[in-house]
Amino acid sequence: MELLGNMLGGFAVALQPINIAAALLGALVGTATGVLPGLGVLGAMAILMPITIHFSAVTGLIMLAGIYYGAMYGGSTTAILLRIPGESGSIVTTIDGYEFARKGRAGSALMICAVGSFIAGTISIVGLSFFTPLLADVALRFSSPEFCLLALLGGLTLVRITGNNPTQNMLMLLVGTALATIGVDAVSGDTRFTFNTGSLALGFDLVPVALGLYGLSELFHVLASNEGFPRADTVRLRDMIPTRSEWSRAWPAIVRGSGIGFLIGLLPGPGSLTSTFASYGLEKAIAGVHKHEFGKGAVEGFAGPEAANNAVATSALVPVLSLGIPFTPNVALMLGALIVQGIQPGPLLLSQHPDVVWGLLASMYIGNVALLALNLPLVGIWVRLLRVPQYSLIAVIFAISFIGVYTVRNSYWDLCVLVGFGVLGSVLRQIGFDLAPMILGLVIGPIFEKALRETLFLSGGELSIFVARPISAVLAALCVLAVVGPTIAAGFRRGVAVPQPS
Amino acid sequence: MNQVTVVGTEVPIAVHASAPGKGARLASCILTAAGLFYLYHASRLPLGDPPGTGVGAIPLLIGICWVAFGAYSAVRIPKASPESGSWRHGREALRVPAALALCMIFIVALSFFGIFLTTGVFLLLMARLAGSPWKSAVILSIATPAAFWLVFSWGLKVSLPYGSLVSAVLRSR
Repeated sequence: MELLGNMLGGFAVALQPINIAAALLGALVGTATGVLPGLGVLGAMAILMPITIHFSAVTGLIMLAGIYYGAMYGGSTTAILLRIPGESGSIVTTIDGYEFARKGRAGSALMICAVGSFIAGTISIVGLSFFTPLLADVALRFSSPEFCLLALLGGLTLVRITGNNPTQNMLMLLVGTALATIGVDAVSGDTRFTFNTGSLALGFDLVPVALGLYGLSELFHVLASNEGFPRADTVRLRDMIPTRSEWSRAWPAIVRGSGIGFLIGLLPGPGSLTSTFASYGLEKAIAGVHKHEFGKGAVEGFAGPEAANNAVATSALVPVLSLGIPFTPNVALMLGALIVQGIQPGPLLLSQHPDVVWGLLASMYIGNVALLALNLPLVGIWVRLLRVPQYSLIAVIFAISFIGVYTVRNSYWDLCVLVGFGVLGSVLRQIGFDLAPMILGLVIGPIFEKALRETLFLSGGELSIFVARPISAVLAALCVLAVVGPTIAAGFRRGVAVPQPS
Repeated sequence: MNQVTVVGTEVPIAVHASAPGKGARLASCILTAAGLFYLYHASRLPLGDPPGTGVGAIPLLIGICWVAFGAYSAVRIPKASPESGSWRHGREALRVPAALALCMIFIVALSFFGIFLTTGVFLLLMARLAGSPWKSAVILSIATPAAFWLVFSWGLKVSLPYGSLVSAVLRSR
């Protein structure tokens, strides 16, 4: 009953015209981002983040969330039509989705993906509505040691899972955390690493750093390659109706994918790609008579993974809304947007700012319906978006980035930071460094530092406090598992591998 | 950001296939040196009482780990990551320093010429750099600042810099 009351309150916030417009704009920008190869969801969120700061916290958050789940919708379009994943979550869709399209069923594949995304999004939002208050209640029992270990767990998991070089990832996480220490110390008010300059005393704001690393560096890359967008044939609406047999095979995969995606989104680490591979693996394992179709256009091979990546986009919000700890860079940006607005995320967010949390959840229902309504009839327009000249997008995104960053603090220093991190990001990406840990480090660094110093103050400098409390002991064990788990698993796989004859 | 494979490339691109491992090693060395600099300054900050509660405790911990992981990353032979690419050279590669120069000129010019004039010229040059025809570039450089004014000044009520030179000219009238 309380949940229903909260949800109604959320709809009262979400149905305000400005918030409906924010959800629609975010969903449209997200879909466009998903369709256009190159510009990723993190870049689009970073580009629009300075603009969201001029709205209220809930409006800004609704817009950023719209970009996030909208991109998951849009990513499937180019994956199916052109075998190009607009987003990392659509990589698996390129396998069977594209092959299915080659059989002349592109419209049907798009329809299955759009409906699957809608179902997954809706299931995940319902789960989010139930889980967030539950976890927030549990989190009220958390103290500094638990928050310190949660932040550490988020960072370590990302380091171990993304990319193929954990050492470089750890280095990037540490650099991001170190950047967060520059400026005024949030605990004591003292300044650090400022070298008596006013600019450094302000610290490195998340907006120019994230926009530089993900937005500008991508533009530099696109400018150098000048590859242009590929062309795709448009799809007619009447070709989009799946057959009864296609539907009967798709919907169980969609439900299974939604469940997998929701659960993986709750865990630390990059869930989008992981969930799609998990869903694909499951569908292939239980395929039965259709197993031979996998890789050649199996309906389950794209319906399940597409549902999974949409479910992840929503359930990844549970940890940040209930605990105030982001586990992925996308969600870290949303957390950063809240902090910039002066709202401190954490277990008390739900009780202190219910309008923000419930308004966001309610807006996601609206956004999902809008995406379904917009995506299917407008699929031809989304495909035509690839015909927009690339030069105009490059120039306009450069200009929006500069103006957006400048308007946050009216600071020329932030513009220099933007360009500096754009160059740094461009070089680091080119030589194979993953930038996601740096962004996460910049966001979770202050949370980790504050919690660790409070913990040590409480315990009189004793580190045993981390294992003396039951919840923190479990979290400490999970941190150890996050570090050594992949190595043990790899060793185990090597041990059980049957040598193949040469 | 996700690396995507774009098919239907219109322009053949000259690339220099340098070993990504070499660049990663050099970057790790530079980052380790930066870590040493950070560690030196962190070591001069107070550790607090009880130890670990002071302003310098966490930076010291970060600095030590930074140098350790940086050195390890520089010493071991890095594997080529799927994200790593080849360095471009020729005309395409020159676009990046040219874009960077335009960005720096934008920052310097913004305080003098204001947002509209600077953005207009920036868009014109950036669009040309990205391969736009003159006509499209001119349209873009006029339409976009007007759109920005609509969104930021009129819509979001954000004060945009008009520039010292433009303001002085307006005042003198």
